[in-house]
Amino acid sequence: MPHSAKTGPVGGRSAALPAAPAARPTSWLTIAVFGVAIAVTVAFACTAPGVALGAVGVPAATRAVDSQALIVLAAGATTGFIYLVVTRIQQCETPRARPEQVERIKANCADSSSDLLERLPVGVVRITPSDRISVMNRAARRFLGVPEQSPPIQDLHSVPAGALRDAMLMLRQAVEAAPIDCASADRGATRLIRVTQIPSRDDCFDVMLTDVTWVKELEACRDEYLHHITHELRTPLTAIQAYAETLNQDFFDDEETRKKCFDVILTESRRLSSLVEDILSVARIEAGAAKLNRAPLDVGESLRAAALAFQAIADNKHIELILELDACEDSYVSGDREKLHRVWANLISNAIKYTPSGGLVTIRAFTRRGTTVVVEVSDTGIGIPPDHRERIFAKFYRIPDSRVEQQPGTGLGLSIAREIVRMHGGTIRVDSDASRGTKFSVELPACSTVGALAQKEPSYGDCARC
Amino acid sequence: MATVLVAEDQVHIRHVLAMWLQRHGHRVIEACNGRIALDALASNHVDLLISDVNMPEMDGIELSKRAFDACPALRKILIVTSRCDQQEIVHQLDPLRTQMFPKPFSPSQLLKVVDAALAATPAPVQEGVA
Repeated sequence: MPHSAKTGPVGGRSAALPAAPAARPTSWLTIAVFGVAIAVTVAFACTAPGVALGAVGVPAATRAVDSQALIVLAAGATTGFIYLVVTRIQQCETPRARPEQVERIKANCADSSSDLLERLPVGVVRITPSDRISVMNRAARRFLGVPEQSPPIQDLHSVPAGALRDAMLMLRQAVEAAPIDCASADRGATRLIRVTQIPSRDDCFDVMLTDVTWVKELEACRDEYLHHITHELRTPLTAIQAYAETLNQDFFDDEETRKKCFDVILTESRRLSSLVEDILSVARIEAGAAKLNRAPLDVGESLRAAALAFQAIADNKHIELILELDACEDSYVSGDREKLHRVWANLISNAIKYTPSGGLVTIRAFTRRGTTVVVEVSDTGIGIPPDHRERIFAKFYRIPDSRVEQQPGTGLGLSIAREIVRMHGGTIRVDSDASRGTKFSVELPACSTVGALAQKEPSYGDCARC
Repeated sequence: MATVLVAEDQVHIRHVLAMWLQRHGHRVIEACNGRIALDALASNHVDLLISDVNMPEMDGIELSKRAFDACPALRKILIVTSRCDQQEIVHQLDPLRTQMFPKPFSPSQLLKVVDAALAATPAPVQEGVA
């Protein structure tokens, strides 16, 4: 219940009441008498106006003129009579609120406002000039640490001492004008409560208490993400700057050193460019702005193209790339060719990177029950430790393993791959063992070529079920 | 001439640092992570440690905390990092014997800092030497 010294609406205007009539309505008796008089006048005017006027002593010479005037008067009176009748009928249709009805309506409005105030997730407190608390809703009581079963807080000095009360006092004394954020213990958890003064129309001090804990958590996530981005961007920049300065030095002018400098500058520039593109991709995906350009996609053909792109790298590292695609002949998904190629490229790239020389990388695809296309990229590499398996999909997360040179790779590949798979309505998971290697499995809904063309393009929000 | 240990997991950055230090007349030992760097400190006479922060096995902060115990001859540590939270890193380290240097860096500027650090902390005199 709101803690108010007065009854009635709390903290707001009264609700609109049915409009009471401005004047008493004309009674039917009055209208009836008036109607009879008009009827008699009209009858004389229409039948024997001369006789009527003669009966009241009007000279004969003026009877003709006056008879016309009498007709006009009768017409006007008839019009007035009709107006009175219509107005009276309208007044009968307009409900007139009796005083007890008005009071009941006022009470109902007050209850509705009070109930709404109690259900608000935002705390509201109103303090009078005499330090009395005229409003303190349930949320405010909770934020201020008032036990639920406690009696109503009547005055400011009964408010539990703490940062929130101090903040309200500071705002009230105009020591501080900007909202103040305070820590508050709420049901065993520490929340961050923002205390904001509400502009008031009278001498009372109104304040709003808002839980902004999620805002701070979001800011912390944003700061951590910026921290990671800054570090990742500075790494290739460091190499570019250092090698560019090296090229500028006379004592490093042998051909081999110069070539190495140019190679590193080029490689790191490309890495920096890839990183910027990946950061933008992540931003677009998270903003829901990434769109799929869907078309029927032959999964086998798409995987062959991706494997071909990495054949040279695999050969250099003496790693065998094996394709097992017979079981997915004529397997189609409704997919974005470019984005899915990116997924395959990321998985194949990681498999090669984390597999020692002489190892195997196997790319296998098959259709399950005709409804799902499964793509598996397996390697005989170093495996992923159990406590890292879920974290590898996080942005910028790399397994700290010195067996793998911390080389190009933006740290965003798996995060983006997972989002692309989700956008296609699929799933991605990882199985790994240090003795056998790692296997990434991607499952996508299969489709017929006809069905794929008819399928609408989903928005990012549709993938909430993934 | 001094012995400088370069602990950096990014191979290109490690190589360019080694190149400049060697060209400047210093002996360079390279390590690609903190654990290898700590082992190298324990088994070599190292005058100066140049270390990154983010490294596998053992990061630069942990390495710095153990370095002086592992190598009594060590005179100074230069932490070269691209991280934003450099002030937080500084608070965890010995301010008298550790210095921060931001990335991206100029190799020539870093060399000046190396020379200044070595000059400010002369090598300890060995016992028994006349």
